[in-house]
Amino acid sequence: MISFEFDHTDFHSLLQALATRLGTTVENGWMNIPPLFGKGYLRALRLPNGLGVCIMENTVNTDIVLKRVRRDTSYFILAFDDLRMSGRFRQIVAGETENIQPPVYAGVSLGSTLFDNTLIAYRNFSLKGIRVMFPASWLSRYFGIGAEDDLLADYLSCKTRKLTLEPLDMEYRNWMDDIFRADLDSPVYLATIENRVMMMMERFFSRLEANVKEAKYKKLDKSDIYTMMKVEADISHPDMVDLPSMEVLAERYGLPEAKLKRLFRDIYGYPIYQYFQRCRLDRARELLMRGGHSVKEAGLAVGFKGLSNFSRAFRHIYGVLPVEMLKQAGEWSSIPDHSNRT
Amino acid sequence: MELDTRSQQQDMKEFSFTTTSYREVLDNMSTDMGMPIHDDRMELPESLGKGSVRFLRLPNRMEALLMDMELADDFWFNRGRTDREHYIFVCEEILNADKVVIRIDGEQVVRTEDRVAGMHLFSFLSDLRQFSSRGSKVRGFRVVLSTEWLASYLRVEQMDDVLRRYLQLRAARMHMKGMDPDTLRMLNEILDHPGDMSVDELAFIQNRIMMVLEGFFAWMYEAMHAKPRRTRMARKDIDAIRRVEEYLLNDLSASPGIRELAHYAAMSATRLKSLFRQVYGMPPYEYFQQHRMLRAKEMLKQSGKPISEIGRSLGYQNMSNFTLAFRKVFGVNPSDIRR
Repeated sequence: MISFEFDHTDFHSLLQALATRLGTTVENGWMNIPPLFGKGYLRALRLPNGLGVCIMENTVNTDIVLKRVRRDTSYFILAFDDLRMSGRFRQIVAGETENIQPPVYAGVSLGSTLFDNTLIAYRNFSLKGIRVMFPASWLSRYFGIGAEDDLLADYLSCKTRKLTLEPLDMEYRNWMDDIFRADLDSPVYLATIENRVMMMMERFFSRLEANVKEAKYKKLDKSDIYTMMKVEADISHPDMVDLPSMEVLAERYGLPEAKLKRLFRDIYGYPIYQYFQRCRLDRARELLMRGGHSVKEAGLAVGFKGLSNFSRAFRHIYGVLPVEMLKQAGEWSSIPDHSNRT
Repeated sequence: MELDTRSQQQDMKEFSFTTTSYREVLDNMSTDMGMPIHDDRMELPESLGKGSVRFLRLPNRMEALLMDMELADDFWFNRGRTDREHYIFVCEEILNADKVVIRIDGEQVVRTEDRVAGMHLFSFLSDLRQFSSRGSKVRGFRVVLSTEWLASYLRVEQMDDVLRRYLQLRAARMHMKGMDPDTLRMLNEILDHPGDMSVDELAFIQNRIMMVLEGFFAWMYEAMHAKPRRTRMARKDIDAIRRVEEYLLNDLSASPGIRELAHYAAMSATRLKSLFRQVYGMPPYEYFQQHRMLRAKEMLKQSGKPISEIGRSLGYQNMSNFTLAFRKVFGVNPSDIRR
């Protein structure tokens, strides 16, 4: 078991302390998890706009207790988590306990250094996550949101996380994927990370008001929410190229068909099939933009059997046909010939 | 004919400035055109057209000028050279233009397409004159990029040369990067910002301007980089390596050789070794050994079996080899775990 207490307000020193605890080292902000505890890495990064970011992708195979001890300096911590676990997971914030049900938790949550925060994980889990830490003054300068803002106070005082659940949906996922896929050697690497983080934060804070005021998840049963997180994780997975029928899905997740449909729509904003469709079209678009795939290949790769179905669905979402997108992607990737004479 | 030209000449509106501060630019415009500024925004005088020009100081201290206007007359927008090593980035869409002229120092590009849309980067060290004909709808933004900004957001050691080459390419520097749909969407969101959001408008605009800048510089780097692009690891390679890893750890009593793994992954041994290291940070055999000894440690702790039997079950017929391997990973002998 690993037990680790900390109260750092910057990720570099936090990783340093964690590394010492695990008997390893931090190099250039990277810490690899020693094989004894699992695999993967945590990485601290300071962005040009002053944000501290921790990027992590790891699998941990031991019980852990992580305790952030409260302190008087106020920092916010925004967590984007895509968590898969085999055992129980428990979070205790300011004395309130939240039990997270396996196998999936994928959500966004805001915390504060003003409260104790303990995380207890039993057995294996894997986490793909991004943490952002910033003082109140940063939030007010960049987003015009004051720390005394009622909204934030309301949010942080919400008794359980359920009331202010912000699910990690495909928009957040796409930005997160960009971050994990970003080319470390590119000169625009830092700009890429910063921009995605800023877009994710913008989305979180612009939805916060509705989220707190409407408390729309209040009526929902907690285990239903975790079931929906599992559904969403399954249908947005890159391997999911063919959506089973509603009947099969209802059976698989142990819910009546109508309830499954309604819950999903309530939480993720789209009916299940549309959501699935958008996820795979985003993947196809990514393949086309990155190059090396024909329209047909891109369509097949995400599970479309007919080219015309693919093209029609694609245009419906992006406003252009895949072939047009492909043509444009080629054009932008190079300076036109006639400008090359010097 | 002569008369025509003269009257055109007289009608033609022109605005010139030499400062690198957009706030001053807007102030000068307001004085020149006799129009007041409200909330950092100036409406165009009727003689020039409809629409407005707006100054923004973004939370990250970057200065921007947003333009959304329909010209009732031909218009020259001129910026004289300064001695500050700053850059100006322009992203705009000009519709219904009979003619758009961009002139840098002595050279010019004339475009007569109906729609001119794209992005440019200019240096403040040169003269820039831009002409749009009457009837044009100009929608866009421009931002000042200081060298400090470039240094903090771009790896200048990589970018310096690229930037210089871009600015030196006489044709290219006047050639726009075409407007892709993502950028156009961002531009529209910047100019028609939905007013009902709970995050600050400036934050919203800044985020989109930054996304556009990122796209532009990424493109510039790719397009101007002389060396072939460093290939990122393809998804299918990562997946193949993950399968190799599973295969490798399938039986901890015997490690498959590198040739066997390469055969399994259908790639060359050299390639497999290099990809495996990229994903797992060490060669396959070392990785295998760590997991093998990890298992040994677990068994030592959890079962009462003799050490030699544990060693044998993990493929060690010889006790001293097992002890050596164990010590290599954990720094202690297997017997120490039992105590």
